[in-house]
Amino acid sequence: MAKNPQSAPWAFVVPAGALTLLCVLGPSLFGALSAFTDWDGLTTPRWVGLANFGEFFGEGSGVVVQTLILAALYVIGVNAVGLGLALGLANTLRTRHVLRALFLVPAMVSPLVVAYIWKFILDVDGPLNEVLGNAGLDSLVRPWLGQRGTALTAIVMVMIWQFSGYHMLIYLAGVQSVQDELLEAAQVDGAGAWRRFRDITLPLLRPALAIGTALSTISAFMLFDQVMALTGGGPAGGTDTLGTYVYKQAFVNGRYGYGAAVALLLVGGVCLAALVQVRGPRGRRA
Amino acid sequence: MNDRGGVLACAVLLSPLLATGCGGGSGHGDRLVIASWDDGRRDGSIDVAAREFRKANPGITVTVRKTPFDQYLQALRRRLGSGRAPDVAMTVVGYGEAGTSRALQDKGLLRDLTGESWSAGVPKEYRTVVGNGTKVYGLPLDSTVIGVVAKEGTAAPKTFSDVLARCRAAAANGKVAFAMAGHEDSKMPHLLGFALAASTVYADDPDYGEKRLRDQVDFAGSNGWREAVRRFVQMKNARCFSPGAAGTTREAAARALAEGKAEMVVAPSVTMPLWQAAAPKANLTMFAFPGDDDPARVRVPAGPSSGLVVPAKAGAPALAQRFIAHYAANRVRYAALDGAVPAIPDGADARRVPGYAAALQPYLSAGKSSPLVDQQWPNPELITLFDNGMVRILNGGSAPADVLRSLDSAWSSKAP
Amino acid sequence: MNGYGRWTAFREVGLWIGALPMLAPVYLVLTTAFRDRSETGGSTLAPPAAPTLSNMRRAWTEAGGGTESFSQALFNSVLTTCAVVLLLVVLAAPAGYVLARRGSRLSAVVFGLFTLALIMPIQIGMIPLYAVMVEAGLTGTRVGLILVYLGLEMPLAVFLYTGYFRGMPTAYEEAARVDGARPLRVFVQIVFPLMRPATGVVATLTGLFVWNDFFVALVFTGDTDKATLPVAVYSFVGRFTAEWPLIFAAALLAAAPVLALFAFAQRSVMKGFSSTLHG
Repeated sequence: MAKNPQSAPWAFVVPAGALTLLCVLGPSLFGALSAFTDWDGLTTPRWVGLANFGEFFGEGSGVVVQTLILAALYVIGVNAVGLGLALGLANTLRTRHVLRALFLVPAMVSPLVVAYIWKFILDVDGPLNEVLGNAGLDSLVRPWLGQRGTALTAIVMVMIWQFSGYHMLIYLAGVQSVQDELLEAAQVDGAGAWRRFRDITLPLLRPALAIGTALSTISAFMLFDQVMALTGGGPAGGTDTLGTYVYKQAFVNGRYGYGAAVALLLVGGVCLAALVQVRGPRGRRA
Repeated sequence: MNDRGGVLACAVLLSPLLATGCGGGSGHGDRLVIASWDDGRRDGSIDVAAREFRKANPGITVTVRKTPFDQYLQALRRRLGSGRAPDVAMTVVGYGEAGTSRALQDKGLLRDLTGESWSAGVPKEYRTVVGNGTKVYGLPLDSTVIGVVAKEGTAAPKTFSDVLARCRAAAANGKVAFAMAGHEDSKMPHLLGFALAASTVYADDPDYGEKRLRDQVDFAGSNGWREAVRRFVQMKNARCFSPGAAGTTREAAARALAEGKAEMVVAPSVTMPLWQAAAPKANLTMFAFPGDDDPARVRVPAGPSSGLVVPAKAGAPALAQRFIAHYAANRVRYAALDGAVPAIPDGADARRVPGYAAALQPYLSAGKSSPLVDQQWPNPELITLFDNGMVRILNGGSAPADVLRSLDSAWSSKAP
Repeated sequence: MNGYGRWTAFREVGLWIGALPMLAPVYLVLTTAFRDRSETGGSTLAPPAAPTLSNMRRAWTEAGGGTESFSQALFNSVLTTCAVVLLLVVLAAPAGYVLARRGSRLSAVVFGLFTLALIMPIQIGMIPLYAVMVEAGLTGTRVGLILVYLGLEMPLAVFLYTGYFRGMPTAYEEAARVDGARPLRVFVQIVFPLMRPATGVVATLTGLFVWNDFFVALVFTGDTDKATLPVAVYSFVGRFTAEWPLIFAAALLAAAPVLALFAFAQRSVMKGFSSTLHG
């Protein structure tokens, strides 16, 4: 990376920076400050110090646990499926371009609409239960979105359904760039398919893995659209995430200061998760 | 600075000028802006009222701006607080959510309408819902009653024990007596809770609501509330609801009722379009939910549902008040367009319920009604907690005392 | 290993079976959207007995709740998305270029700020931003909405461009500089043509976000005739009813342009993704 300040004047950054400051950083700072008040979005705020954080530590452990469960399942799931699809559709298959496009279609549709589609499918009298009933699997028929365990699983599955194609893309180039000669040489040397994958392909995919896990972690922590549309955070708050909790407190209940406090914790959580991901592998492979 | 920066600077400078020209403010002078939620109809009462007002006042532009219902109350609260207020706004009356009329009124965001001609006609029991008892801040539009919706010809249970017996009989036949939409967005479980509480809490003490607002009583200590939630547990144990109730959406509950998988559903009259939409060819009626074995103690929750308010920051308040007066003058006809009955009765013997709910009229005429409980709950979180508590009971995980305790711990007599 | 053996055929069939869960919901959306209203209560799986375009027609004429028509919402979506994407490319690319080429501590800090903005949850700044926009008279206007989207997507665009430029060799730029060209010229004539793959990715990701976004559009243009398609689709989720056939019909209409564009530009989009994310 060459240092050539003359052809890269700071003036180029000003418009982008100004807009970001105006629309994101500035308001977020103001919002962050209101985390220490009891602001309701309308009247003058009153300073309450750390009371909001204290309240959340008492009330919010369930929400944090739910968010972490969803995040863990989603990050692992979507990257595993994405990687699998990339490996499967990298080359040689005749219809690979069509298949790749098919797997990508769900990512093109609005997350809200995707969630409504699945809410319709998973409804107690909906298509999924109907199929199970028709297939004689009555014992499997259940209110998918009405019990915490199945609801959480359903949310993760819907998100993986929607975004695995996108993660497939992330891994595709990496998989394709693994030189065939390397793999053939290893095969000649007697390495089995799993060994070839683990020792040659996987290390070369590290940059893609980093991006994939980072993007999915951020989405998972902020998870909002799908949960709101599928379960509304229910049953009885059992699938609330930090994202939906902030929304409900700040916008539905009008407790903007409290919502901002939880949002700050959310940002902190994302930063922490990002740090762990950046430091983790490096430490292990040192 | 380079060319691009210059272009942007110009754009940023010009945009406010363009915007003021394109108008983002509320009506001034001859413009009236009415905000309403979207109920999917182009010819609802508000649209017709706007049209007729326009015809009666040529030269005034009347615009009805609609927002999807789910988001409407929050959007209204935002707009009222920020100075982008409409002149007239439809809203849900009482407390219960962050954008309902009393919550807004308490923050000083609404104009006082006590001096209007129609305000004297507001029934006594509604005066704390659309105002604070002495002052009136909104015109209540329609009234709603919570009762049992069922297909015509369904036998009405007469006592609470009858209800339980019906549940067991239905369950033995592979059906359920009551459709229950327990999905978190449906916001229905608490309605059954209110129907039960009407015949226990309010039969004991009609002024319970006001006492709660003054913090003179609480939920966990109230015999009436404990009994109401206990009765809900009894209903659950008598298999009144389907096993999947906690995950059933409103639409699924409506389908169950339409297809005969459920015989009845406890719901407010204002939700009739939902039940009717799933069963377009059926005749649906309503009768009272017997929350007690003693018919003398049965009460029917009733109250105004929506109302028109004038924001304090409205740009054309005089025009707004004229529009509301116009609506009030034609309220019987307008309410009929929505299949409802006006909240301000049109005379002493006026019907207080829509035709299909005639069975409930005697209760209202005899004063055997209770307020709509959540209209007296300033903290919006309470409804959620109550729904959650009932869903937990449905899923077998909660005791009545826990539910009531959670309500008490979140209680606040002031809206946040 | 490079041949198309039996094992490969097996894999191909397997993946098609795997694609079924992708297609099943699409099937359901289509059958529900074309299902006539009189068929309510029947099986949700069976294809409609009398497929009808009436839902599409109603969605087209009734969406937007009396405040705007579907065609108006479509127009707003197209205008807003194109404007945002265009301006994003024009403003973010130079910024990413500078952050990539300058290795100073200041550059790292600025990049860090953009990254911080990237992970900020939208709820935290929404109300203050709304208040500012109201003061500026920009709520309920297209210009305001475009500005907000620009601001919200700028961090992602800058992030992607920076990553891309970091991987781009500087040989051509150095040659041009040696020849005495001014920075702007260097950028426009040399760098710009080379950043097409990155632009493809930025345009796709941000364009998709703006086209499909509901919340921001609702907050800033919710009850005006400047609202975008998702707000119009959502208007069918009413106070007491959610008419699935209408909602799905509207959603199909709203997704059609994106899907059409995707089918058209598929290969270049995917190629662009690969090279940007690994550049």
